[in-house]
Amino acid sequence: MNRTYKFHWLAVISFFLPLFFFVGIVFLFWLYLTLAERHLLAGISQIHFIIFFSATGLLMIGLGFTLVWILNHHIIPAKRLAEETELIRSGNLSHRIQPAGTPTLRKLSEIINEWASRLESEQVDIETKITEAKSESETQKNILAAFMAELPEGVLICNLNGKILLYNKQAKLFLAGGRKDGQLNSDQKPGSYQFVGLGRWVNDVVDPHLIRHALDEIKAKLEKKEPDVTAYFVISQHQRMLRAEAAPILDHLKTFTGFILIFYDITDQLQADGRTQFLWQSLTRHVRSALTSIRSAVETLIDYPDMTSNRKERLKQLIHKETLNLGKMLEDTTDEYSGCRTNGRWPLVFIKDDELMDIIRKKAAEKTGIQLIADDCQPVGWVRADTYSITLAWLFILEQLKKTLSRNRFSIRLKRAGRFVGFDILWDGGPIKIENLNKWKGQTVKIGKEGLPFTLKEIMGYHHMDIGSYPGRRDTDPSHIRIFMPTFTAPESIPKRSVAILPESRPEFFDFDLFHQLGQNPEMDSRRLEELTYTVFDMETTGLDISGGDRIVSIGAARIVNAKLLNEEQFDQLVDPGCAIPATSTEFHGITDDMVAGRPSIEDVLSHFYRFADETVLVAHNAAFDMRLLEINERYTGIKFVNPVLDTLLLSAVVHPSLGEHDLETIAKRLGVEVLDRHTALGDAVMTASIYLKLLPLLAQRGIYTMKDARSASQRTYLARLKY
Amino acid sequence: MPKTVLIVDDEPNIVVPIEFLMEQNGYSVLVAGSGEEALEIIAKYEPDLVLLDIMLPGIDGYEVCEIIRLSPKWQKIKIIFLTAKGRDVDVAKGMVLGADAYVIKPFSNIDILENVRKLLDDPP
Repeated sequence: MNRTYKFHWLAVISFFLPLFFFVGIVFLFWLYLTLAERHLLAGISQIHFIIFFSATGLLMIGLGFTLVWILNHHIIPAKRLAEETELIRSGNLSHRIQPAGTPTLRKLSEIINEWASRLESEQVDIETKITEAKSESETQKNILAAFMAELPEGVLICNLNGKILLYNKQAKLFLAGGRKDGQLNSDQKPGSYQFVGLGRWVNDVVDPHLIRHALDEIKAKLEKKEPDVTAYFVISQHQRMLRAEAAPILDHLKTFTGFILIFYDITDQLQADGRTQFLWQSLTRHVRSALTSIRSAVETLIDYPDMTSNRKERLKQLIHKETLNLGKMLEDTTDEYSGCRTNGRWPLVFIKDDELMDIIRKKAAEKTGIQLIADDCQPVGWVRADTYSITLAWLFILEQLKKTLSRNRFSIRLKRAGRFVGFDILWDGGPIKIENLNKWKGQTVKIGKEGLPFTLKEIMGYHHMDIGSYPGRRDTDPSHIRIFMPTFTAPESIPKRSVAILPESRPEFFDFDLFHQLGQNPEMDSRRLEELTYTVFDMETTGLDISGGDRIVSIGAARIVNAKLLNEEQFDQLVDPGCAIPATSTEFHGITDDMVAGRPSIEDVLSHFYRFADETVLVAHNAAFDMRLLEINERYTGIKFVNPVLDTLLLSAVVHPSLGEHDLETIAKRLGVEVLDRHTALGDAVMTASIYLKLLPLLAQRGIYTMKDARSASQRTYLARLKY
Repeated sequence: MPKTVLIVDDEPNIVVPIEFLMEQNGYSVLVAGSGEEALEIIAKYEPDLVLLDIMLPGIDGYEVCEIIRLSPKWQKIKIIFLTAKGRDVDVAKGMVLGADAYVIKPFSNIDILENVRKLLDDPP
């Protein structure tokens, strides 16, 4: 019953009840009077009617005012107080009650307000602490992620079932053989590629027997309480040898709950070890053989001095030849040995000789004040260096030169020297004595406060470098010291793709039934949208007439696991369509005939993509277009995509039914998603994925939580949008 | 009649002085540069002793030794391994195959001569 209604009832009752009593008393009083008295009273009443009537009226008005006052100062404030207290209690701690009504009620309001303030400040404190703790844990997580990413070892963390919970990019590189999921090499068959990703299975990339064996070994060691509970094994993956260490993860009850796999690439080390061993064996065998000949010949010459001169001559020649052989063999072995040690454990990276020189020039000016002037630089190519230690070594040499020659300006140049590149430091005047160079080599490398616990000789040794001092050929020529570094063939380069961006959208397609995919099942239907794993994809084509023969030239896809977009697990693959790409399409997506020449065929790419998208929900913008494309290709490839499908175009229309525009770019702007790399398959896929993640909470606000909810809502919207 | 020694080695520079040494000590000398050639010569001339290198192109010394020891008519042929390999396991392997002696390169003329004389029961 509302308040005004109640008040009216109260007013009516308050008015009639006293009236009833008053009339009743007057009536009883009347009955009690004698006839004469009644006449007298009637007479008086008639004479003083005005007075009687006014008194009764005033009484009624007084009664009414009292009633209103009680209502305004007691009943309404008390009721409001109750409601507002309830508001504070139910969550809005910042609400304050406006004191009203009687002093007691006002006092009560103040007490409640004070109590709410205290509670609010406590809650703010708690929230601040939670935020701080969260941000701290976020920072730690980031540090861990950065640390993991930079590890030279591959790391996989799995639960006991072998599901991958965490991995770093090195693990992916080692086990999947490629940085990006969607980049097939031309010599790689789609079936041979193994995916490494969150929620995927370790057994797909590592022989399950090895994993089983390692886990059994760990369990046995745990039971025996051995100090080292790690299991070791070696696997061969993508022409590389990997040493793996499996270590258990135990929970607080010491229960075996998962395991960490750490992979070390030991290919180079093994090759170097094998090569060294081979060289050693071959050297000893040859040396022994040569010594046998020499010794035997010499002894024969001594023991049989009377042999014919012809035979003597033959033995002498034999000795001469074998000694020459020995020398050559030693030379060859030394060369080969230095070659096979270049892949040692020192962390060397590829860098171009002229780039290294630039770094050194800058650092020399910055840290030692020495000016290096490039003169006649002929870059030779790639060297392998730990840039930090090598720069320090250079600066150290420059400092020594500065001290010895009392100058801080030198010319520098690059010169080829056999399989080495020579970094020359030149100056006018006499050369540095070799004795001085040797002294420097024995010193620890230190520049100011910066230094390494290695001598110059050691650092040069790790880089297989050497240093020599040379006078000018003529007196007028400058002297120089030359730092030799071995050169290497170029490492594999990373291809770059440039793309033209033109704004245009595809027409909406409705000729594919998105809502009855074979892969739909009640179990998946009932799962919450945040829990599902998605493959959000996009494709570029030779044109928009897909039923008329236009073909796929590129597929890009992103993965969403536990409502997180995984940047490291992307699919990006160009496809050779087997026909020319029209210029109008190239203008749109930037993919040219040259770019797709020699790329895998659609059969290989779709089979690869099928495995990438296995057990996930497919998401696309205007999904009917892409699904129809896949359906058309089924004829050639035999690959049928049965995954459940969601369409961001339809979902956007579900959450914003009154807004007409639902093209990718408009939705992105509406939802605050950054627009990048438009019209590349991967760029659009990533954008669609970001949009999908933004749509999830908006869908939840509309009561759409599960896969089934999303599909039903899409279907209703789809019917609403149909244009006949 | 002089006793016959077959030298089997693919290094001619090793063969030359040993060949001379054996001749000077009254042995009749045959030379083979490979395992196959050695087996042909053994079949033809049945030497009294074989100085056998292990690392040979084609059939290696171990195999030649095995073939000789498996053939009943060649049981009397003495075998001395000459090899650059000096590991214990190689010596053991050669002896198991039925070699009579083992000389590791680089050897002295005396080492080889004494071994030959001892096996052929010849006085120095």
